[in-house]
Amino acid sequence: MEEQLEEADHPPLPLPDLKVVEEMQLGIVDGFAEVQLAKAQGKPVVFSSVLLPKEIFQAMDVPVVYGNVLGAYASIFGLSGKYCGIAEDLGTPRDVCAVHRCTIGVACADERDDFFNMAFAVPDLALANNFPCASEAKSFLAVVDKYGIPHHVVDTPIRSWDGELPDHAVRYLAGQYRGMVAFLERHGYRMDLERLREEIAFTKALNTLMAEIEICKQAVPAPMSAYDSVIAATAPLVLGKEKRTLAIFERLRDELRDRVRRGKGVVENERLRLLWIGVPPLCDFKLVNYSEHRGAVVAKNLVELLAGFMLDPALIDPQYPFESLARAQLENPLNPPGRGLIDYFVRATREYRIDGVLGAVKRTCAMLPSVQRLTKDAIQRATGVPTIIFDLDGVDAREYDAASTHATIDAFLDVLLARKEKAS
Amino acid sequence: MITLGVDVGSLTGKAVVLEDGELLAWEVILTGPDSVETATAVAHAALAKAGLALGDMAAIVSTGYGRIVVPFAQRNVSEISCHAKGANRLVPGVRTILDMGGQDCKAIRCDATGKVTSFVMNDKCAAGAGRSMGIVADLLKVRLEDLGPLALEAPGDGVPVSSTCVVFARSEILSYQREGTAKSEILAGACTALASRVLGLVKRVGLEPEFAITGGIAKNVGVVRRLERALGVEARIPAEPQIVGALGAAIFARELAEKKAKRGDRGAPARRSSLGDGGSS
Amino acid sequence: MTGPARPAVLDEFRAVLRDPAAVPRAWKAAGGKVAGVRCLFAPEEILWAAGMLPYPLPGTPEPVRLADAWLQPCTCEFVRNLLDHALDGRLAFLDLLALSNTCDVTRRLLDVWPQCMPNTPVHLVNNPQKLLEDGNREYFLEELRRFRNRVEAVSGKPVAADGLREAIKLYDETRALMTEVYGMRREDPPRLSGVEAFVTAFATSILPKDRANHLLRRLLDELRAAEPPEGFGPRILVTGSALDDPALLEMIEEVGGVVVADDLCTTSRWFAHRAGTDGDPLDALWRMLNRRTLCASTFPTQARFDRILAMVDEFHADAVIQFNLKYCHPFLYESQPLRKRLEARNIPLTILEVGHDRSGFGQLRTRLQAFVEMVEPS
Ligand code: SF4
Ligand code: SF4
Repeated sequence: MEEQLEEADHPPLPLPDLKVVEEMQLGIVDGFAEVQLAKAQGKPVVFSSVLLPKEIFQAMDVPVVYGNVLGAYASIFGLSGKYCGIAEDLGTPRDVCAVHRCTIGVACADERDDFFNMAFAVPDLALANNFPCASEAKSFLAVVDKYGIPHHVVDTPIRSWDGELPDHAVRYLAGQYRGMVAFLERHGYRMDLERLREEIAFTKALNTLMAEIEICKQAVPAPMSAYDSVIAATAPLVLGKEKRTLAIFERLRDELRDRVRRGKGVVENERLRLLWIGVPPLCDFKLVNYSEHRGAVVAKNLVELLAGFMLDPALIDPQYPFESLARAQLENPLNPPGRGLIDYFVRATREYRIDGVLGAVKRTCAMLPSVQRLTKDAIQRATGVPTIIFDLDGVDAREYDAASTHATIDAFLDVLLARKEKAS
Repeated sequence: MITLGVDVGSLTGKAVVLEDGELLAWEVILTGPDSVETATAVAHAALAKAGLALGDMAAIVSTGYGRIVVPFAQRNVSEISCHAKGANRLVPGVRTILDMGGQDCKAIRCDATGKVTSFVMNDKCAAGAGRSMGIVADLLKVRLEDLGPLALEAPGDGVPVSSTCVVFARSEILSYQREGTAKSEILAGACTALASRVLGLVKRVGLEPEFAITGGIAKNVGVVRRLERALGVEARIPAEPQIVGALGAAIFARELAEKKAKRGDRGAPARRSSLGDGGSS
Repeated sequence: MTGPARPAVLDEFRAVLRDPAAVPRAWKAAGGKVAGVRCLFAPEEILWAAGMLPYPLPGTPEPVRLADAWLQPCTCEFVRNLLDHALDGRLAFLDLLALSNTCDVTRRLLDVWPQCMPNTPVHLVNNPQKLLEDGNREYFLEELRRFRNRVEAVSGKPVAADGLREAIKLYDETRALMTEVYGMRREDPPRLSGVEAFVTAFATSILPKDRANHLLRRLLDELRAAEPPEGFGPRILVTGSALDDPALLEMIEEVGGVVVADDLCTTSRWFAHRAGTDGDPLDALWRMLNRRTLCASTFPTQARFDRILAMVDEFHADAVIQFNLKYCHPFLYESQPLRKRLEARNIPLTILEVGHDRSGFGQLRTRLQAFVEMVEPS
């Protein structure tokens, strides 16, 4: 697999910092390849959003192409210009989400780069989900049109209610998930509820482990790099429900604990800790490490949430699988309105002892930029930590400008360092 | 039957005088601040060459972004329709036209009579082709007309220049200059960037031979060669790519005059004003 | 200004468009309460039954000034423009803002609006986005009940079943009248221009419906009596997002197109279905709303395409213009599939992405004119 990537005419994936994360990365690549196997066996392949419950797919042995993940990888590989261009030539407007333009490009291209020849299979079915944004809900239309395949949409209400989650909402979303199962059953898959319960129990165990990892990551100096965090967040999507998976995350936790004990951080002399609350610069991942040359580390990154990972283990009861999934999804901080996300970031600012917040605004997203000002105010009020809001389309390389972004970050670091000096 | 076509563009004003479909005279002048004056001046200049006056015209059609204000035109027609019509005359058999003007770029498909069947207009930034090349030429201190040949001196695609936005491209070009990159390399990069930007337009409208390029940039071989390479077809460049729109307008004027003659000069049906009062008309 | 005289009652609608907010201000001055509404799933009937004037917030074609501090410039200009109105006091008369679960930015108003108008309560009807499903009834009805309770609390008036039924009856009548007005555009030439139809639909959405119904009846009478206007040129259907400015339609008609039908949030979408007064009125509202697959934030999307194609047939449209407000993601994602479906039927389509403040109108005119010239028989 490695060889294959090296032969490709695009840059290889960035190398993780931790050995165990490197293993995860290889595992992910292997995991992606499985969809080809399934396709060869004649199983219907599903094109889906990553933000639908993977437990359902896994319990039904459904091979999935996670469209938006492939879109993100197109950007990470430096191929966003190419695949966005393909989508645009097909008629996708340039002002819609760059991740989803990449997705449409990868899914609808006539020829693909090596990585996608492996990770993408022509879908037989499509599932979409309106969580958390219009892009998630609608970009799949182009793919459905291209392949003329049956499709199904799962409707997730936003969390508009004050106080406790009301029952009618949980029932509705649980019903939506049952509808998703019924759709898959109509196309040859079978649901075994016992297995679903196991999958959910597994998620719970994994998320409990992830919560421990989170606590390690909060240590000063920060023991885990931003890129490693992204890989670790994506891993559960592709790595199966196996002891091996739990074991690898246990090893990650232990390695981090060890680093924390030894006081070893990702940067030598950690001076500043940053929180990244915008869409990360996928097309130039070095950028999240850019500040490190000045001793500033991105300790926490929004993308960990975007990968849909942190379903709160406390909300998961394997006895009621659909209701558990529904509750966890409705309470997911990404679910609009912004309160969830704002609280999440305020908490992260405290727990990670953040010195400054980077609020990148991706031009082609309506969902995240519209909450940044409120986040900035809330963090300021609660902790006094400053946020810089700046334009950065780090997904469509054609709209990305490294030099001006560096200048912006440098200027912000100057301010933060001056603040720190004054305080001490 | 003598007709006149006037094209009031953002950079230049053009006028073409036709007699029974044959080119009698034409003129190109720089656009002044006032579109009416530009139109009048260029029309008179072209007419003077032919020794004619406005009153001799059977019909006059205006086009270009200033088309609505031309006081002596009986009708205005969009530059897209006019370019197709004009290119159809100058490049027989043309089916796809790429027009790269000062303000914007458009890709047009047309049928055997030069009637538009579909078109795409660039909607991205103010990054009009002509203007962005002007900026590049200014930055590198080369004459606009030398830009294309100079760019061809570079063997490959040149250094990468941002293809989306003149503002980005500007800072990139400045930093290449600081690094001492050869002008031809930078120019080649800029031409490649422009070519790739308009390539999408052509793809979206659908390329069908014969393929012609019109507008000011058609004279820039740096861009034209790269486009040809990317599209895999040869581009036909009309001898005077700038006057294609005005020529189309003059042909429309002829059609208008013929229709009028047939109808016994009832004049074109008046378009109903859309809002009786309170409206914008 | 040639052509036959136009119905005089149109002037009354035009007057509403010149200053829409005069309507709620007058209501307020008379002692009533006003609820701003955005978009199609917070049923106005409930507000009306509680004695409130529902005011479907319109914007103004001007550059955004204040709202950029709250919503980034890469979000829908229409919503930011509304927020401008909230910030500079132009909406000070609002007693409630009633939102729907539609696009990303509209939902975001639930967070942002309270910062901009702290004293106006905001309620979002969390409608399902998946419609045409019996399975959403329990959920949707609960959302409607919660909305009713909130409206009762804000208005101080109970919403009894009878009152709600009356409100539905009134609104159904408006919807029936508007459908009749729009039906007159099937004729060739249509009995009213695209701009006139737009002005009528838009003003009617703003006016109290008893008054609007009265005017609509007059309009129908006058239209039947009047000479049809001259209508040359290709017949055009306009579909798209929230158009609250007649300028675009004026431009299409100025360059020679005849707008014979429109599928817009501000016009035909709000009167497309009727609720009826059989049985429980909330249930009747649910039945109607569950059919409103007219918004690009609802599913199934195919229902929207089917409606557009049906309108093409019904109104004998020669061509379609898809109008998108800049950065309106839900509608932008439909451009490509819509083109495919129209191409299959050989119907020309042009797709516009337009600034709410009329920026870029110069180039727009050229595009529209070229499009009209293209579909015009030569
Ligand atoms: S939240 Fe924004 S960046 Fe993420 S998928 Fe949606 S539109 Fe794209
Ligand atoms: S125009 Fe589009 S983005 Fe704006 S409010 Fe309407 S649906 Fe939302």
